[in-house]
Amino acid sequence: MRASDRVKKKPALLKDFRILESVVAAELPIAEALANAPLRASGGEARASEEFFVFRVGEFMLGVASTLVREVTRASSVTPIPRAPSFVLGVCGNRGEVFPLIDLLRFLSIGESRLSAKTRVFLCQGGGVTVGFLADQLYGLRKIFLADKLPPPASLGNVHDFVQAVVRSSEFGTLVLLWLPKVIESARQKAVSR
Amino acid sequence: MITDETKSDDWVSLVLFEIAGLTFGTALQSVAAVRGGRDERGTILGTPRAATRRLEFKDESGRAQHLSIDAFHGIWRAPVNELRRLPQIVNNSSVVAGVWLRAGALILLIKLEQLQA
Repeated sequence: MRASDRVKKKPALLKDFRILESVVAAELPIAEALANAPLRASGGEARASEEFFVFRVGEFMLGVASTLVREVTRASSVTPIPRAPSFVLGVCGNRGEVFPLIDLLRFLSIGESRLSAKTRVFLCQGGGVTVGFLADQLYGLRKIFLADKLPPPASLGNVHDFVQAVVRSSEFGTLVLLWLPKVIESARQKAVSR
Repeated sequence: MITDETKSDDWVSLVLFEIAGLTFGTALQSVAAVRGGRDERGTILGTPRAATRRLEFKDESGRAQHLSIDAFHGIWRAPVNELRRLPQIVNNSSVVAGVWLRAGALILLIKLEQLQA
């Protein structure tokens, strides 16, 4: 096979019916084409991947499974709740729904977020609960290949339990992928046990 | 009790007040009186700055108590469909009953009788 033959061909809609006949004549019969078709995708196409929502909090680049992220909004007025856990900054309203706002840095005991005009909130759904998380910067969705995921290093300490993997990325450096349902469940347990 | 099947024509009467710049609400039935008087003792709701008034109420055991406030914002009728329970993650405080979504702002609804004055 020549190198030029390996260039991936994309499906195209034939709009000019005058050339249709000549195109069809030059093509393989469908049975022959199917006989030559590969059994599975090759190379990069076959690499299993997952989509993550990537954001920065403080100096940490974090990612969560994109399927859990429902919406992104601005950090509007936060109503503090007496006796709430320290990682719960308060409650916010969004389109008639009230949700708790969580500071991941405080939750993971690795610092403290600061609210600014640039701060964003992403709403996540987990265990039937909607929770808002603070982010200093959002990078959107990124495809992470499963083969690139590394086990979380023991040096992560307390954070280790909530990390599903670490990825070395040219774009983000070290990207920490969180188990968000675990975070939400643990936050709920901490709140109840107070 | 707030249920998911509340009718839009259901209303509750709330007393709105302010402590340290935050507005709170409480059920009208739980307030015995609103009087003047300076008492700057704080509670978990915050420490009043001016403490010009006080809400009088009875706690769970029936004892007369009061809560010092900075301002009394009147009695409001709130439609029940604008009330929300607190999310589970923060619903650890017996003092906070829920919130009133009032024109985009959240007003914490306080159970006065649970408050330790």
